[in-house]
Amino acid sequence: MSECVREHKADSGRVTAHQPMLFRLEKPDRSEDKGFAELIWVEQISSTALSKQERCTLRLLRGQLTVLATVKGSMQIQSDALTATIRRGQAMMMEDGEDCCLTALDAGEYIVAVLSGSLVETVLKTHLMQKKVFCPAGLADLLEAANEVGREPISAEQISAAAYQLLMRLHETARLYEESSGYPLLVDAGMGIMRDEFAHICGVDEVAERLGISTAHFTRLFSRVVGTPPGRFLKLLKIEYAKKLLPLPDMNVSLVVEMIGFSDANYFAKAFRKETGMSPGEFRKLNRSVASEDEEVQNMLREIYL
Amino acid sequence: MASITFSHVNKTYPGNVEVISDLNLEIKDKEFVILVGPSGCGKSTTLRMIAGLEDITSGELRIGDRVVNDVAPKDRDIAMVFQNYALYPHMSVYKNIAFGLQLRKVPREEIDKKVHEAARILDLEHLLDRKPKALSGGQRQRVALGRAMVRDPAVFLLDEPLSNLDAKLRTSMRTEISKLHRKLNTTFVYVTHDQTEAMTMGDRICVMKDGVIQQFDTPQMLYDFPRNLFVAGFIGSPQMNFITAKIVKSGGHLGANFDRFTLLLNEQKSKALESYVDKEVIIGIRPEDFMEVTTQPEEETLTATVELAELMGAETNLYMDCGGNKLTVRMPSSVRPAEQSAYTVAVKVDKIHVFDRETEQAICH
Repeated sequence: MSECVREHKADSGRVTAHQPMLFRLEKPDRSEDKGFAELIWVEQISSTALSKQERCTLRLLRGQLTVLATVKGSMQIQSDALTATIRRGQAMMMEDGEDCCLTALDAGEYIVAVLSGSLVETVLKTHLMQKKVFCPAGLADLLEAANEVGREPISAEQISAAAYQLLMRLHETARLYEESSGYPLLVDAGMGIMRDEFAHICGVDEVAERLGISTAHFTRLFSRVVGTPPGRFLKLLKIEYAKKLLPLPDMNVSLVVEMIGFSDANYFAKAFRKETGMSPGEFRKLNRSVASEDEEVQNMLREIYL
Repeated sequence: MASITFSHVNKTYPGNVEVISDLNLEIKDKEFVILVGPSGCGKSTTLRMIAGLEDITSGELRIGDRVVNDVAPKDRDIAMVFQNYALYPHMSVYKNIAFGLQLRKVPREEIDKKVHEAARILDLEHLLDRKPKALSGGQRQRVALGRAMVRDPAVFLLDEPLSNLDAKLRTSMRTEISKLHRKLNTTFVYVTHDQTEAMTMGDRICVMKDGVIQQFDTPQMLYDFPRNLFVAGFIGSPQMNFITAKIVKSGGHLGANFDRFTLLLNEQKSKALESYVDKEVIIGIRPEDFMEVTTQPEEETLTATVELAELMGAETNLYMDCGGNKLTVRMPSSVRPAEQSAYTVAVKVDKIHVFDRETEQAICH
């Protein structure tokens, strides 16, 4: 097995989202390895931190696929072809041949992976023309690829395989995203169940059961596509509702806890503080209101008495 | 008294989408009424308007003598059982049943008495400490019914309550709910898309389509005298057979002619169809209105190719092709004609339904 040369690697071990890194992977010299690099190759994976409103220019070389994923904060992408904002966990496949301007909307960090090879050129021609470029959970895919190429020792074949895997994953999630106006059907259905019945479902297990798939499969799929595990998504959903219910005059904290389907008031208070920085009681005091404008909250309040 | 009266009620969603159009419906006190129809027919919207979960765009809705257009759901003296049961997973069965009363600040002793009474009627007493997760689908459904029962509402609203249960459980819960209605002696309004549920449970059935009531009648009347082609096709399983036929003179009576057959129509039908001679109509024959040929004259029989003979146990369903018209014919299980062969069946000609081809309204039954 021939070892490939990396220009720099930040640290040995597992790459995490917040670790600065730069992998520049030189193409192999050996004739038997050249085929891999010609087919598909990771040119580089790098991360950059930006302070709030800081800008930088990203050079998008022709024939190479540049994938940008946000690790922290939100990034605004602006080029002749596109204006978009990607949030934490999301990724965008960029059209080649022109430069784009990145603006950090809040202090943030992004990862860029550059892929090359004949397979990439084919994808650039077809995939990007169809504008299937947005990957809702592309960051996880990029980090996995970074971990893969960060291993030592590594062969040209493994680098090429990592590039292929990354491309296919991005391709798949972007396609699914476009096709189901957002998310793959299972994820979309799971999200619907959680949104409609968050107070009445027995956690992620019940959602998966109702979708007819295993909890592990649902959790994996949901996390990959949405960028958040379904359990956390459900918890955040409940806390969002709690924030809408708490300020209302007829409410008290224990009633809200029961209405949103939290099993334990202490656990709720802890989770609430973690998300909002204050206790439910403090939140209620600070945000008192007479009535809710939110239609879903109004419906919830009507239904509870029926 | 808890009658429910819709007077010229309309419901329009933003963008001028009319889902209910000039609804006039009177549900009597203590009646069990089923709202039935295909998806999107407006049945759930109608139920939700009674509940107060949907506003009424125009018209008037009364519960008893009171106009409730602007009365909040909690003040309408109604209880609702939802399709997904809406139980709280972290609460015990007892707490789930009691929750609505606790919200209304009912004294603890009274809550306890009511929960135990409901649990006794619904056979849930041994399950009061369990969480919903540890219950079967049928038991969860009974908890949802219990939660509605303890409120002693004047009106029970049930929105497809059996749709999450398997077929066997559905049948037994149908009986349970019918019994419960008799026991509680209050008004029940029940939404379903399942015509078997509708036919077996309701005192009266309101068949809806595209936000308009097609017919509001007893199950027997809907079955025997469907007002139009839609009701005729919707009520009854397997579905009524429809054949386009021409009304012709045949001796002293009229006949319905199609392909090489002319079915004789009795005097009452002939009279009703006088103005349709030489015109096309749609005739409807229920699968169960065929029988084995014995001594019937030729003008009361049909010969068709048997495409499939499906043994159902007590009877056989024959799927036949009669000159391009697809027929479903129900025969005793002893009848097993060879598939792809011609077979002659007799038609109970007195039971033929005739519909206007243009308006799709019934002309005679």
